[in-house]
Amino acid sequence: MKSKINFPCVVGAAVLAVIALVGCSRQDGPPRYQVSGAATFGGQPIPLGEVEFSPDSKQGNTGPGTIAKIQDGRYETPSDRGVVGGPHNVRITGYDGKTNSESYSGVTIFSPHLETIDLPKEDTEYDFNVPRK
Amino acid sequence: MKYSKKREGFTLVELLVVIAIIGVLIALLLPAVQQAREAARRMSCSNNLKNIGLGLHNYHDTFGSFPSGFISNRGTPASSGTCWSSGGENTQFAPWTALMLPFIEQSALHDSMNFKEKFTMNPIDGLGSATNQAAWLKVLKIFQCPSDPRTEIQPNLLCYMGVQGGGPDFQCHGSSDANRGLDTDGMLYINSRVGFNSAVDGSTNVIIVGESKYQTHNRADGKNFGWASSANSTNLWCMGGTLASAIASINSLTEASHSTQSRGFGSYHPGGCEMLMSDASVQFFTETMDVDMYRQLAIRNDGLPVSGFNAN
Repeated sequence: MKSKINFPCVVGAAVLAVIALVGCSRQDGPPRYQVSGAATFGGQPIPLGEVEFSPDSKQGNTGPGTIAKIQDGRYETPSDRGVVGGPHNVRITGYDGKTNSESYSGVTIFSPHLETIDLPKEDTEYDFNVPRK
Repeated sequence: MKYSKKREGFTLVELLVVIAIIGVLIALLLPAVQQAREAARRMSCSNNLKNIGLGLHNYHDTFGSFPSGFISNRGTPASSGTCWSSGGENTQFAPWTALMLPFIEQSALHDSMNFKEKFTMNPIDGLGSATNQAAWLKVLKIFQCPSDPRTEIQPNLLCYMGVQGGGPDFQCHGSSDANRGLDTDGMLYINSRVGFNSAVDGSTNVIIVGESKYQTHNRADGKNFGWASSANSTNLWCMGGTLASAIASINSLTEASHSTQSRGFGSYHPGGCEMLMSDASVQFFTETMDVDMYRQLAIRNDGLPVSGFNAN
């Protein structure tokens, strides 16, 4: 008697729970992948800076861009905001990391470095070297 | 079934089951309530932007152009590299937010300012005249998004930045910081005087003001900005105080600082930010929208009018 009443209840509750969980795990936008690696200027690690990834529409890639912070020569995209993969325009800025009265990061050590790279549609490693002009 | 006739009240298990069911129901309800509250705040925010848009249109009707992004005694900034080769000052004259005051029913505040004197950029290294500094400290709710918690730290904050342009990088930048700079291809920029005729992409397809959570508000040394902030026009650290370019993808910048405040847009609304187009319509831009489309929408004359962006 008892088991006959409870069984449909348990199944019903389980179905509701699954629907609720599926409803919560909706992801907005295209799939994102993580990129990390080294960032150097003339072979030396960049103390502080940023790598900005923007999908290159001239090569048919679309989607949102993202910004990875450089610290002590390494960068990593934020875990909740990766890149969409495919051809990307990259803009790299670097600071000397010596705090002054105006900026915690210090002053810019090179004018913004621009390049275009092709990223795979998976988590990946990519090293940037900004050439000394 | 004799058992049920005898009993009075509920057993402990029954009581616990009822409490558990009520708990689950409330747990389901609470997020919905929070979402409804956020939806109301977002509506209030887009209403602020709509009123700013109507104010800008009335300014245009009166003076024949939109207000300048900010008024400066500096010459035209360079078309690339660093904006100026030397010199400049920490503070400049009136920003667009102060110029449009009579058209958002703030004539008294407008009259209390002296437009021949300098406006405060921030009170530490860009203090304007005493008259304008007093006005700088006033709090205007129309310039603040109700979802933005930063106003508790910096009460006179501006949550809506004028759009000075867009693209992969600034037109020109400060020589000490490549992440601060100026653009002149938007609707509100240094000494701008553009009207509807300059928005050749079509006024529906050009952003004029965007929601931003990046105006500096939490620097311990007090170099924080407000709604009436002017700009820094030194060749070293040049930056707009109430202007931003569409460079970084929406919400992709993570902190509000001097190096981020004029470089992108974003908000505390989940998933994107509100944008005011030049025709005074307010659109919600999702943070997953194509970054090039977002940059092109900030440029008034690139010949790339895009439509259907809202379906993104």
